Parts: sequence; structure tokens; C-alpha cells
Amino acid sequence: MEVTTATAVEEVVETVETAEPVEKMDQPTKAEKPKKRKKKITVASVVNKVLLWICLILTLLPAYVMIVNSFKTPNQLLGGVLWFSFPLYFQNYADAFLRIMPNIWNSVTITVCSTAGVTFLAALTGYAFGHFKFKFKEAFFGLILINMMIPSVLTMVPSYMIVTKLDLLDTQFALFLPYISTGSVMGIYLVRGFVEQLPGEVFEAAKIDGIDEFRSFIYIALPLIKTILTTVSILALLNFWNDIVWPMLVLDSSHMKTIPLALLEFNQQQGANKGALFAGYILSSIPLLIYFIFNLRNFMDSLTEGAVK
Amino acid sequence: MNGKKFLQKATPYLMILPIFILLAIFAFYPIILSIVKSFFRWAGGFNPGQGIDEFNWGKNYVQLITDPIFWQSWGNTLFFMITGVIVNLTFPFLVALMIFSISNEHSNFRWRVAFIVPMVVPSMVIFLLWQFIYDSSDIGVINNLLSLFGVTKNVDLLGNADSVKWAIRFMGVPWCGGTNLLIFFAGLANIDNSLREAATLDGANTVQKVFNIDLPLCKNQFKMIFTLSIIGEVQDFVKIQTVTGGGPGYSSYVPGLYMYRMAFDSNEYGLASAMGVIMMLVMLVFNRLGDLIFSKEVD
Repeated sequence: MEVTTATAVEEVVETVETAEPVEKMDQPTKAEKPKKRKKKITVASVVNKVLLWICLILTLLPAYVMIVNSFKTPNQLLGGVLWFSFPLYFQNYADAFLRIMPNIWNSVTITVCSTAGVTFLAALTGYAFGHFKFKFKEAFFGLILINMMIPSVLTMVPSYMIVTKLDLLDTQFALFLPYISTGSVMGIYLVRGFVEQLPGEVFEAAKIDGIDEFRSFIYIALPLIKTILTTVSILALLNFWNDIVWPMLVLDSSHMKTIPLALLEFNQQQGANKGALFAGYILSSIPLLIYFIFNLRNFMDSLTEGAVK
Repeated sequence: MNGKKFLQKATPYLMILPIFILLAIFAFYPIILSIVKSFFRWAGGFNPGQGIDEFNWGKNYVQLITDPIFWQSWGNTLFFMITGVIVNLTFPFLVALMIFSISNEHSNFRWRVAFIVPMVVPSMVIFLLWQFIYDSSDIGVINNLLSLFGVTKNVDLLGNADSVKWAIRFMGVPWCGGTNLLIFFAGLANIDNSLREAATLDGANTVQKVFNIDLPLCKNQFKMIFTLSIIGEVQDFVKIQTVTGGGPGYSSYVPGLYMYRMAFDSNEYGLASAMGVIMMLVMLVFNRLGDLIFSKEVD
């Protein structure tokens, strides 16, 4: 009995995976366009490319400014900011590294922990809503969805008061707890939609085997909803990584600050020696850049996915 | 057996319990408190016996709407909303169209990646970089560019009441590096290609195809970005706080900044809550407006 259910589960897992509930957006173009069409260079396609390049260059302009000036001494900066000045001044990177490394670490830990928390809560709650039938289900779900309509400015003052009263000011919990509560809302919505599309047989088989509900969540549901959890985690991660207002309110001491706050402080203290500042900007972009490079496809799909639903 | 059955019934409730405990503390209670306290003179401090906490009818709201800075900040936001909606709906759509017209699958993907890569830079860095680009001294990028063309007089775009709002709007030009582009692209990719082929056979040119097929069939994407832009412009004040602090004077002041200063510089929590309630109402109104504008059936 056990063996058969196991294989049945595996089969369904496979079909689910191959069916790919997450629609890859490139597929229609791929299927419908003949692969080797004769390449013709038309005026339109040249204009198209030129315009795209102009837009791209403009988009990347701030990044260019940042890179070029991160290799300059204060004097070289006065000599012009549009192109590299030689010799390149690498000391900026060492200075910036010592200055903001602890803050990058703060940002990484708080982002990773909060993202893990959100992903777990979204999976657990979204699964409960998608899989079970229970009384007042839609009412409960509605209560969660309401939070999508509430602007964060409305809850800012009372949340600050709560954090003060819980004596969490200037600790990482002041970020972590609010993040995983309001940050999970969107994820719950996405996971519920995904779970409802799963074929019911997977769980039937588990039920016959007498596996309890919590285990069937861990061992059967979680592997099945991996795709949507990737989306949930990437969206959450971007939010937490970039958040400025809330950390600005609840974090006070320099060594606790997350990256955006540390850069702001650095900016105010640095004065004329902006070179080190630019190096700091670059260093603080690296963690997400690495993540982006290693998860390119997931990243691109998730951004679309999260927004389209 | 009975216990087991009970457990089975309780499972879903147990599973949704953690998030409800968290939401109760960090969402529901704050929301209700905010709305209630918007009718209170709530100021000074949070602990009992410290500060003021008394019901004062609608005095907060009256105080707000009689404050010229309140109206100035909403006027500025209106500028940012209108221009923001315009640029967010046009530029990313055009670039998505241009990328979509590249039939090579790989170069198509590479173009999208190239526009998304800047998202790895923290938004605070982007703000600070633009502040540097606009810097009024010799070091600023714009002033450097101007001196290349022989203009020696420095410009101070952020420090001038006439130009500051436009300067802020032009941060992030051409407004394509982000999710809006991907949303439009997904919309275009979802349109059945046979429609375009049929139109080509009928002799439609590119512009006609865009206006008769792509634009109407991306209606949902337009609606979504409209709503997101409005919400973003009403809510976001960190950008302005970072680059201008609302100045010069109050010429780039926005409601979010007004509220933030009221709550955390003047400790007037009741007034700030009233401002928050007004901001929520404005967002709801524009959300509804978005539904109305984009609900017209087009075929």
C-alpha cells in the first residue's frame, strides 16, 4: 500500500511539474514563430534597436556615474565626474568596506530571516486556505486581504507605539515581527491560488495512508508549491531589502542600521570625500546582484508573476 | 477517536492562527487605533500619564484642511500623480513593445534582463545618486555636462522652486528600469499572435496594430500600473525626504512627509493619524477611479 501511494504521489508530482501551472511568458512566441526566419535588416528594426539602446543607456546612467566616481580621490572628483580619472584610487573600496560591512550584514540577516518567515507563513496559511474547507473561511481570508488596501502610512504611528511598548526599539525584532506579519499578505494570496489549482488526488492518497495533515503539508504540499514559494520569497526579499521608512523609525544606533540608513548617514558624514561613498554604493548593491545572477530566470518570472496576479 | 476527529477539524484553524496573531498586533490593532485616534488630540508620548490623549471631535481634520501647507503638499502630489501616471503608462509600454518586436528569443530575454538589472541597486542609492547628478556645485553631473558645452554658470535644479518638481519627476528617466516593463511585456506576450497575423494579412501597419490590438488588449496592465502609480505617488515620501527634504520652502512637500514630520518631529500623533486616514481615502477614491476609467469594454 505504502509503495503504491508513494509512486502515485510521485507521478502526480511529475505531471504537476511538467504541466507548469506557472505560465512561462516566452512560450507563445517560441511556439508560433518559425525558428529560422531569414534575417532581414529593415529600417524599422534598426530604429528600434537604436531607440532601445538610448533608453538603456539612460537607464544605466546613474550606475555609470556611481562606478566612474568610485575610483576618485576628492581632488580627482573636482577635476570632473563624467569619465575615469587615472590613476584609479582603490583605497575608496577599503574605506567603504570597513565602514558599511557591518550594515550590509545587518541588512542581509534581517532580509534573509524575514523572507524565510514570510515564505513559511505564506505557505502554511495559503495552503490552509487553498486545501481545507472550514467555517468562516472566506471571512477570514477577507480579513487578510483587507491589508492589501491599507496604506502603510496609516499604521505607521500605532505600529511605532506598539514596538515602543514591547520594548523592541533598536532591535532586529522591531523589523522582523512587523515584516513577517504584513509582508505575508500578498504571499498568502498567491499560495492559495496556486494550491487550489493542484489536483486533489495527491492529498487523497496521503489521507488513505493515514499521514496526518501537518506532515502531508510538509512532505507533500511544500515540494509541490515550490515554484510559487520562489516567487513569494523574491518579492518579499526585494521589499525588505529596500525598505527605508520603518527601519528609519525603529533603528537608532549606527551599528544596528540597515544598508539604506547607513548609506544616508555615510552620505551626511562624508562631505567632500564622495569617492568612498560611491564605493559604498557599489558594495551595497553586490549582495542582490549576486542573488540576481544566480536566480536570473526565477527573478524575472517572479517579478512579472507577483505583479500580474 | 474523538480527540483525533477534533484535531482534524481544528487543523486549518491552527494553521491560520499564527498569521492572525501577528496581524492582530501589527495590522488590525494599528489600523483601528489610527482611525479612532484621528479624532483625538494625541500628542507628546505614548505612556499613560505622559503626553495628551483626549477626544477632540473632528478638530484634527479641521486643523488640517485650514493649513495652507496641507493644500500645498496635496497640490504637489497631484503634480507627481499626473506626471507619474503619464510617464509610467507610456515609456515602459513603448519599450516593452520595442523589445517584444525583437523576434530572437535570446536577445529578447537579454534586453529585458538589461533593463531589470538596475533593480539590484538599493533605492536609497538611486536617490543619493540623483541628488549627486543634480548637485548645485561644480561637482554635480549636470553642471559638469553643461560646462562641456561652455556653460560656466552652475544650475541648481533641486534648490529652485520652479524646477524642483520637474527635477524630481525626471529622476529615473526614462522610467523603464523596473517591473512596469515586465508587466507590459507579459501583457503583450499573452495576446494571441494569430490576431496580429490576421491584421497583417488585412494590410494593417505597425501603428494600426498597436492601436487596435496591443493597446486594448493590455487594458488590465494599464489599469494595474495606473493604480500602482497613484498609490506609489501618494504614499512614497522617502525619495523627496532624501533629495530635497520637501524644499525649497514647501515647494516639493508631500502629504507623507507632512505626516511623518507631524508624528515624529512634532509628536502630534492624532493629527498624523488624521492625515493617514485622508491619504487612505484618497487612495481608495483613485482606486475606484481606475476601475471606472479602464472598465469600458473595448473589442
